[in-house]
Amino acid sequence: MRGVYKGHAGQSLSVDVLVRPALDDDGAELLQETAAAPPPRPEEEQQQQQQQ
Amino acid sequence: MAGLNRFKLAHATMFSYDGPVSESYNELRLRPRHDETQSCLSFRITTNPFSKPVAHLDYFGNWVHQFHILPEHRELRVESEAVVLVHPPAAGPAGGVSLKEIDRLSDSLLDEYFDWLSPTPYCPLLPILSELAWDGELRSDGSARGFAESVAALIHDRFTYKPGATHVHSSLQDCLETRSGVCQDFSHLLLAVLRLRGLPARYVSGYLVPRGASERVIGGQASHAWVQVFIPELGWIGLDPTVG
Repeated sequence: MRGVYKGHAGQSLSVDVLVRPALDDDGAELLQETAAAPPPRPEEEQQQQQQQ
Repeated sequence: MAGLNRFKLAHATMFSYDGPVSESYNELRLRPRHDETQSCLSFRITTNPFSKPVAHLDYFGNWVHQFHILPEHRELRVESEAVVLVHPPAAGPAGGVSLKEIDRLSDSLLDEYFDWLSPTPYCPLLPILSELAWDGELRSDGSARGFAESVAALIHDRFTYKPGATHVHSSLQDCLETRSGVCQDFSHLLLAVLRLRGLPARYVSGYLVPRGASERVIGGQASHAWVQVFIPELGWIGLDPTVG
């Protein structure tokens, strides 16, 4: 994601990703999650996120 | 996780501003591709403050969503949800061409895969990379695939995965100097070496799924990046220099 905005405000960014199997072959939903929110990182007026 | 081939993805991005901002114009690439390797069964994107994203396909076949928020706001939250069906990998042919054959095919590869062989600001073909290319060639069996796998392994062995060592605008030079980085740095590095050697290569963005609830995956805290290299007779092959 990237973008621009009007205003002289700084910004912090957090990203939360969750991936889980939706269904197994029997149609049952399984939950195996990864979720994390990296600490906020100062950004400039352009906003863009890094891949880890 | 045999038998599990459908995945739910949730990706939330939150910007917090230390003052009011307005006239925010954004674009994002979050919708999974729909191709021979996977099917995107559903996709939804929402923003807070509310917006109406519009979508188009870019030159490379990736979905791009654009949205804007004009009123003043102090936070921006973007959430996407998708369900993806991952197809079992087809049993591809073994082998593939040699590096010497790549040299012989260089003109035709450049004609057909110019975009995947050219330098970019994030992927400069620095002369210093020829050392890594040479080491990869020495360790390979002489095949193009073996070379690509050797270079990916060398990057995995010689560079340290270190979140925070680089940022989104870091250059390849930064990664080479600190010998550390995250998946996007190692992917750019591998891309540059492969392209320098005449192999078409492209950047892939996606997600890692742990094999079990207790498994920690390097790079699993955010979207992940890896590389696909084109090998004549084999097609596009995935390589992950971060996870190995």
